[in-house]
Amino acid sequence: MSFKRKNKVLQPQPRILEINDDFSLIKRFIEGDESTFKTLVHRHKEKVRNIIYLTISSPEEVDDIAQEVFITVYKNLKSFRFESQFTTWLYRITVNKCKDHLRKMKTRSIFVPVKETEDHGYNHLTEDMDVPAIVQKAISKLPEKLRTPLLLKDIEGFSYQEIADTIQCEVGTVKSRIFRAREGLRNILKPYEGELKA
Amino acid sequence: MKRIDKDFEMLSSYLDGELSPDDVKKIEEKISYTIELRNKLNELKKLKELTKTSIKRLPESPYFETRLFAYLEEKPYRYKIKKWFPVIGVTVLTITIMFFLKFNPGFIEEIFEEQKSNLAGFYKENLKPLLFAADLSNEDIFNFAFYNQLPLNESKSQIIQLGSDPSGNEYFEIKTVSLNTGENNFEKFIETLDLSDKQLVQYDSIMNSYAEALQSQILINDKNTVAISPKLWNYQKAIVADILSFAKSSNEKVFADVMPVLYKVQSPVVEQIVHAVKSSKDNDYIFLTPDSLFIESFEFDADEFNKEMEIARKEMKQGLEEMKKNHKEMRESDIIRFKLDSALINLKKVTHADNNIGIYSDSNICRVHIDKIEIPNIELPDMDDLNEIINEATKQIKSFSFTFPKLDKRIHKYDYKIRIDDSSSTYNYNFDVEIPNVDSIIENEMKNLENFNLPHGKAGWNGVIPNDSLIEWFNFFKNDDSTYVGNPKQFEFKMKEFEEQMQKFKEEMEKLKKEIRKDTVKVKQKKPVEI
Repeated sequence: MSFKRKNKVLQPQPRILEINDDFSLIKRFIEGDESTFKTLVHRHKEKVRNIIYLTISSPEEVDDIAQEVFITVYKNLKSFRFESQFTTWLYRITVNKCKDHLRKMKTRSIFVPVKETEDHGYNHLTEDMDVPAIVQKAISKLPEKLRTPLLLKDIEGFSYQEIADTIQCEVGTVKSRIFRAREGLRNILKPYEGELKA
Repeated sequence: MKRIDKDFEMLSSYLDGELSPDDVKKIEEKISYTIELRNKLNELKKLKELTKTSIKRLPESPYFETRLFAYLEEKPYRYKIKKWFPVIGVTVLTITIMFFLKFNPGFIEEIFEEQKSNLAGFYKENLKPLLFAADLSNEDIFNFAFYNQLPLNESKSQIIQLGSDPSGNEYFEIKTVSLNTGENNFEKFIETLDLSDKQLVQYDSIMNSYAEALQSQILINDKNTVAISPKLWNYQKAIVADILSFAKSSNEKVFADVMPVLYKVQSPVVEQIVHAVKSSKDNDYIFLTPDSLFIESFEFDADEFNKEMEIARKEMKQGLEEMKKNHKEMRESDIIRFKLDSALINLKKVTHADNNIGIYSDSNICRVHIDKIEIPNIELPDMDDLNEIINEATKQIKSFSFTFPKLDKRIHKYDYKIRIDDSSSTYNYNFDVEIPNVDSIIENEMKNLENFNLPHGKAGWNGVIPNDSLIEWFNFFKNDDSTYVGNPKQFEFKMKEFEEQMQKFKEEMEKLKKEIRKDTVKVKQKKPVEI
């Protein structure tokens, strides 16, 4: 009897899917379960922080801006319209916050005297820098509108369409900007071909 | 874009895996036979690899979530509160203001006062006398004293009148009418008192001192502001007292006859009044402006003004025509006349709550009631006493009445009535007077003149004047020449003269009659004109 029991064919149990995708969490949040917001933050915070880091190139300010991003999401989540991916909306907010920050910094820099030691172009990249540092420095010299699509593509692995949704432009524009970013990077790094080959 | 650049861009997208299958085929085909594209693809691959490897991902932040949720849990109300910010803000502000005003009740008033003083400052600028001492004659000051009117311009077409309404409240009026004080009052006054030259000089000096003082009592500026000192009322009283006192001291007999009631005015009292008025340091002025009416303190530096005018006069004396012209211009620019314009008319609805000033104006008159303004009361001999004496004297005249019937040519007899009311009884007198027909009298007299014979020895109407009681009656008749004709001899002589004149008149009339007849005959002899 026990044998029988051993050889009993196990019937596949119906799989209870825990509906834990972004839309479900948002719906529950709207219904009053604010704890779901924690899950959303936990799931997307690193991506958000990295986009910020890639865009503003200033690690010490990343968390402050990221906090602003999630506060904005928290305040507006109940009016989310489910017309696009949550991530598209989230990254759009992130990029806009970064733009705001860069705009503020630019305005502030008008009133701050320019330091004599400040670099004014790729020619000022120091020779004793290692390759990653040289490349990072070169990327930071790119204009924001070229740098962001390039990094979203090469670092974050966004598709052209996702990039277009995030920065709110056409796919053709993203294509063009990424190519121009690479061309720009090539020009900036040209004097360091030796170091880069080594 | 160049074709080669287009291909390079496609290479970039090819590298990113973003080309459609068709485009992938095309570009791979091109790459296979174009070395340049192959080199570019390698370059782009290298750059992509460099980018990927050089940029390090940000290390995770273990505290990010803790910090964020702590913030959200701690301050969730922040976002809810934001909605209510306007309401909360207004409420807090209102409560704050209420508390502030509760403990600083005078705050609003202070603001108003400050604004008022700013406005007052604006209207106080450049105030100059409306009346120039030099322009005020003795006649003007005399009339001001007794008729309360002062001319405000040279043509005397605009005046200021001081008065009081039936309830005894003072007011002043600025009106565009001519003075109604009669003419040459001052001259009549001088004549009546029969002043000596020395007394005249003395009187002039008194009046001049008042002219100087009156100058500071009404000020005006180019903003059509008129400032009137309440002292003006007391100056009027002081001048009256001074004039009466002077009149009494200069010709006591005449003064006693003319003003028996005011005869008791004591000089020391007058001196006290004048001193009190002149030494008053009350600098308040009533300001009448195009948009407000207020009372403010203002110090007019009469000495400074007089110095300026003196300098101007000296310049004039230097005899330079140009200087004269300049002075005239300066004088003209200095003299500002008050305009009764529409702005002032709009003020008529304004009443000054603090001071109970009321203003009533139209295009010809502007009356300002100054009910509650303190005008220091100076006691003057009561002119009403004089009026009582006049009333008493004319009482008998008042009780006398008479009625005359209407004259009618057809009626020759009239009834005249005279009624005299005594305090105890009434007397009525009726006179039936037969009035002859005037036309028939003239006709008859013409006939009588023709037959007039001059009698000798005795005078009389129609040649005979009876020497009867009528002659006696003439004894009591006083004619215009103040000579009595009561003497019969004198009367006879006069009648003789009259008869001679009548004779001459008769002869002339005869002559005239003949000439008229001649002309009449001539006219009759004229032939008719043929047509």
